Amino acid sequence: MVKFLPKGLMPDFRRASVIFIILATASFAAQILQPVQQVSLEGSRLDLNELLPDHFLEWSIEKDHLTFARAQVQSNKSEKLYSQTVGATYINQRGERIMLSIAYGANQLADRLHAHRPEYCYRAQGFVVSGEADENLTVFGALPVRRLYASLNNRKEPITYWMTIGDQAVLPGWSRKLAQIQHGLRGSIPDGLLIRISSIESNARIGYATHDSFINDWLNSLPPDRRQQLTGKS
Amino acid sequence: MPGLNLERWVPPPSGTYRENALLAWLPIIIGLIILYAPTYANLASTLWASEEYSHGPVIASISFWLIFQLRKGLTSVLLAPKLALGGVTLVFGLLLLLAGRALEIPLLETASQIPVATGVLLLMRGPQALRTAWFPICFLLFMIPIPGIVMDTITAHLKEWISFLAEESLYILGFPVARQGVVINIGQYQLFVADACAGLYSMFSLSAMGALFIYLAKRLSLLHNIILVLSILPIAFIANLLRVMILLLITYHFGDSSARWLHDLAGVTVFLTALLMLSFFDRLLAFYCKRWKG
Repeated sequence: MVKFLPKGLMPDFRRASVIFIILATASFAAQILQPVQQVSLEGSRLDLNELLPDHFLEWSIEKDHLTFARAQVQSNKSEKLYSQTVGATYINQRGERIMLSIAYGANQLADRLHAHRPEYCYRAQGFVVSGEADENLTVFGALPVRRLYASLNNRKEPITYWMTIGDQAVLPGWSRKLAQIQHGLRGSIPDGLLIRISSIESNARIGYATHDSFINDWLNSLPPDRRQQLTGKS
Repeated sequence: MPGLNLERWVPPPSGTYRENALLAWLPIIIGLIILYAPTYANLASTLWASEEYSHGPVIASISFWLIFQLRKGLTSVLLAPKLALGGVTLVFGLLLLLAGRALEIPLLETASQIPVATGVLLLMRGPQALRTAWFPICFLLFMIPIPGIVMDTITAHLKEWISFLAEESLYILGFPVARQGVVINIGQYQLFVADACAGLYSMFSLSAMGALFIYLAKRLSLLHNIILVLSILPIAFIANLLRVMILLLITYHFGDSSARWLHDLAGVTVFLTALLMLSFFDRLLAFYCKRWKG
């Protein structure tokens, strides 16, 4: 059959050929299973700035006031390519300031938003982050949010944040992993957002209350499809 | 490198070796290339492009090169294939790969190489081949990307320790330093200990090089080897600490601008320092081993 092989190597070659068939079948299966379809909330590219209106209800963007913590991990090339962040500081008539930051990651199977999580990016800048607690806000269905309290010397910063994966609002941890795996099994690559709201306020409870009313006003002022990008379809 | 003896780590053929025996293995080589080409293409365009995983291709190349060096031993060891065990291991590896591909988890994809290679060797040659090739196969462990959650947690702690120790030591030496989390002030300068400075990734590649060093040095005493393996991580940590301290001192004495380009240079230095420390430690151990015995 095969003449190019020296004598005595045929048994090896036969076995190797069987293994080749197994390997080739596996690579064929892998090709089929590889997810391709991109589940974007809109199906089109997301313009984060549209989620940040200049004015809504009693809130308006305060220009030149962008002194909040940003994720430090930006050295990674893929990070730059696949995610973007926007942020703004809003102020209302009572002089309450809210810092809002949104990070978008196109591929959430690969967990690229991870570095933007406040637990990490605040700690990285020397903040002491404490008081992790999860709550459900009742704006347009249940919205799971995580509360944190960051402090650095005199700067006390209550933080409220949540994430989305595909069209679901989730918190980091097992529920998020589960959502990722579900998408992976369906052969789809979900995108995701990380929405972070914080304010300079030593009293955490007052801070969270301000966050809640801000979130409520903000979501109320957005058109339904934009809102669903932030809260998921629940 | 002391004790580096090529003949010692390329075991002589123990079975009957035939010329061009590798030809019979060609289907497997082609199969593996088809199987892993997408994985490597993906790694090359994503993870390997980032600073943190730039050691990936180096690890892979060293591993493949070592396996190639061992080819005679591998193709000629006596035939004692373990078909059932090998088959199960191979299928397990392939399932890992499929899961990794489907869920886009590079960790599973790269990790699958280890059971796949093990399975293939068991099917073709049996346990003796594994004994020959265990190191290059296990060496692939170093190219597995660790999940961000784990990395970030460890990095955060490492960063704090490094900043703390760097500040404390410089303070004791009488320099004007102050620290806030991972932001260190020295003189009029303020430095930020970035993730890369925590050196978890460099500790990774240092551990890999340390393991390679120990493998190639082939010290005969088991205790010697164990002590060397255990010393890798502390040495990598100290080397990184030194790097941060040296950068702080350079900034303090020569200013911001010189520190910026020295930052990259320091990355190379930390590597060489750590390897020198390991080599020195190895010689020290060898010296004491001799004294104990003699």
